[in-house]
Amino acid sequence: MLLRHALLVACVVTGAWSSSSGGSTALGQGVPPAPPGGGPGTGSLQFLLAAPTTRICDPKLENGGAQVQYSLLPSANLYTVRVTVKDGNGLTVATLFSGKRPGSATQVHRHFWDGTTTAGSFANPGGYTVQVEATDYRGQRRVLDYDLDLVRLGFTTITAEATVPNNEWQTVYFRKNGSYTFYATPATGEWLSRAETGDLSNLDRNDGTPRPAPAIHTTTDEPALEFASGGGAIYENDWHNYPLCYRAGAVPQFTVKFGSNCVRNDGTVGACKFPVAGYDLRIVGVDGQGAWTTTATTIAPNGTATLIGGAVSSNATRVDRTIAWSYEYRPTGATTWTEVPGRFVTQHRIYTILDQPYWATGGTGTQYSGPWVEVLDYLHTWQREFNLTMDSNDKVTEALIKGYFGQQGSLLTAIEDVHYDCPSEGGDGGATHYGGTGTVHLSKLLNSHDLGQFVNCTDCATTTSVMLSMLGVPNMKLFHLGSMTLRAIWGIGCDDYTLDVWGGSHGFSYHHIITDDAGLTVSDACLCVDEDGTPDKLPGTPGYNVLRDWSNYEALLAKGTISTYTEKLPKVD
Amino acid sequence: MDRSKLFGSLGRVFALAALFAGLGASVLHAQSAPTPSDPTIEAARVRYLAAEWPSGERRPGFALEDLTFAGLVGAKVEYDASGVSRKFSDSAGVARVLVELAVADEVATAHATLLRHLGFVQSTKLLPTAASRGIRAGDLGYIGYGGRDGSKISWLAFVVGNLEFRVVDLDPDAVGAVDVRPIVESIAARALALPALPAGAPLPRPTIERFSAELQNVTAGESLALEVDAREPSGAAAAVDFVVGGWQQGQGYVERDEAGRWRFHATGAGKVEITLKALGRNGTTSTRTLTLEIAKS
Repeated sequence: MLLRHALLVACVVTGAWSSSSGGSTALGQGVPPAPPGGGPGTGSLQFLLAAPTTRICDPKLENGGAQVQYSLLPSANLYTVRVTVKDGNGLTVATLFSGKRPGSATQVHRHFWDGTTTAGSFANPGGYTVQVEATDYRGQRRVLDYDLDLVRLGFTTITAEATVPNNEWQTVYFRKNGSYTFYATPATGEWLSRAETGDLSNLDRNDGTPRPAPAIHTTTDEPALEFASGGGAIYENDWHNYPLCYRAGAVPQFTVKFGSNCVRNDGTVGACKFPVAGYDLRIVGVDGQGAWTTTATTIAPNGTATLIGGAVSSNATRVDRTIAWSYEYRPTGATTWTEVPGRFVTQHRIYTILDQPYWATGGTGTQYSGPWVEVLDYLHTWQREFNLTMDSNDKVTEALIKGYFGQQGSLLTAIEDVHYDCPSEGGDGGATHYGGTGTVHLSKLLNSHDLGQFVNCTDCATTTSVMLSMLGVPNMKLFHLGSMTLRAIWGIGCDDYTLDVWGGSHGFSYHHIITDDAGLTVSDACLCVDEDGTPDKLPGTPGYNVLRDWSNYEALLAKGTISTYTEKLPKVD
Repeated sequence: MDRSKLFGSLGRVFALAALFAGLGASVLHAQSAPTPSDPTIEAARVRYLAAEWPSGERRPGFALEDLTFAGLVGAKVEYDASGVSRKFSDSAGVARVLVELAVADEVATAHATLLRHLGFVQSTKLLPTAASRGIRAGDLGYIGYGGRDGSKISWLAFVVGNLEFRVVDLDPDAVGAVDVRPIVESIAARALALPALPAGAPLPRPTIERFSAELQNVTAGESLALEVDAREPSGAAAAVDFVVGGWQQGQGYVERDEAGRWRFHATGAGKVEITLKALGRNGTTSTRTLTLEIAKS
């Protein structure tokens, strides 16, 4: 039985340890010595046996600390055990256990040090000794000393990248403290948690507690702001967590940058005390898509590690991923890694689009840095509303056109509660307010219809063409229709179908819709045609204009033939 | 849907598309002329007899910032690709009126802007002139009537020489909606009272005396100071804005630091253009661009 116990322990011990008996000390690593002397009852019996115990720890990780283990040989009497943690000067900083423990052939005794001292504060990074003392009923005393390196592990920056070029884009916000100002999420450090003015350390708060992970920035129109001491808002550049945008199906790559200092329990700044001599140390992650893996086997303060995660969704959608980051160590040259107890959890919002964003030729400015967060989020909302699997550009177009028009299901209004500007709505006869000058003011539409609640066809066509293009639908263009006599239509935001759109006349001087195939199929978020078989009579039956065959659309929209031509995709601000 | 099957049936569409290739909507900056051959504009030119429109004298711009109306509070003047605009709210903070302005070098360009406002109206009805309704709206103005009974002025676009205004009632049916007629007449009178520019004289614009960066290279995640000196024609400091963009992935933004200096914050590696826009009180802008190389951190 003794031999079996010794072998069990020898197979799993990974830390350095020392044991002593009656003043003599034997040092070893990984394999404890066989119990010296003869059988039970002899004076030199090693009844206290080492078991796997943490070698490197960071108590400031979530559930971080050191696991201490040992076993005691079977005995009819209880042992008196004391487990303490001593600093490099031999001073006891924590007592983990003091009391009686039974001996057993199968039981491994465990104690956990959460890294706090008897004074209640976190112990400082550095070298420690965990000492287990056991005394049997005869007063024989045995001691195990485990080496323990307490370090401060953490990162300040996560930069999202793609394993294939042109598979990842920054996202864009359009407001800043009430003004229209475009901001692209940083390409370096979409996730950022570091010291700002007045902070002592880039990993800890000034009271020594770990700086928490920033939550996902869920506002869709305005980036994270802070207020400057001199007044006014400035972009938050120390602590934020912006949404990411990847091509559907892409393999995400994150590069993390490690912090370099921490706050000691006397309030001063200290080093993180890693790497640890003789040990490799690495970071790993896991989320719902599996492991985040790295080839790096050593990390260092201010250094970086690059990890590859499981592929993002193969559809255009929004997914929040929660990554549990942890650390592993091994003796240099060994093959088996041991986990540093504890983890650090980050959350990441990932939007996926099917193709790269497309923009008007010659557009310059931050607004062209990537898809706008508000547009990405609208698409996600509409995808859920219409229960669409967004695996094609046609599905993206369907979600956007239907969602933009709204007024179905839980979408009680049109986008931003706009209304077609016919008199029955109180409108102004169909004037353009957002999109008639070659540059469509999409940001103002998305900002609670800031240029007014009334829209016409050009407003709808320009904004939808730009929105679809930034969502990766290629070749989207305006399609200009000449004058026409209408059949029954249901204008965006209106209550019902009408056969008298202007109060005394029912026609268009022109109409703007969109197409991505030079007019073979067309989409129109400005109105619904009537699909009940009698398009010249009321009531009407809703028919969204999603990629309609042109001839079908033309026949349902108006009487006679409509002249057409294609226009360019507009610029956007 | 097999969309490829539709190609054979729409030859007419292709023919028309080819006919009008390149005639799409063009960018209309405050001082640039719209594409003269835009079919929508041309149609409006014919319908509204634009060739017969009166050509007023050129003015040296117009300061929306100076406008005040009883009972309304003006917001900050906004500059965008279309020109400048300013919103006015009532005492409860409800936005009531939007005033849009495009300042052109030439009268013809202001007329083209007015035509654009008229051309991009979907109604088949011809809009009435302001004069026909007894409203003094500069050289020429047109009214978009609105409200559920069609009796309220929803917007009124007019020109005073090289200045084109559109005054929009943001919700003419709302309780507390304002009457835009006195607002239009006030603006028109103020514009007409401005001294005319001599023939051939350039439109006064803000000037950019200095725009440079302390370094030509910066690392992503870092920032550098910008030297900025923009002046109004009067010599006073001009308001400025910045456009960051370029050919590649270079990214960043510009903000004042605590000492009040402009700084460019680099957030993505690559070549980047930073364009300084000097925003004249008279509705004009001037720009200058510098290029920086942002290194990967």
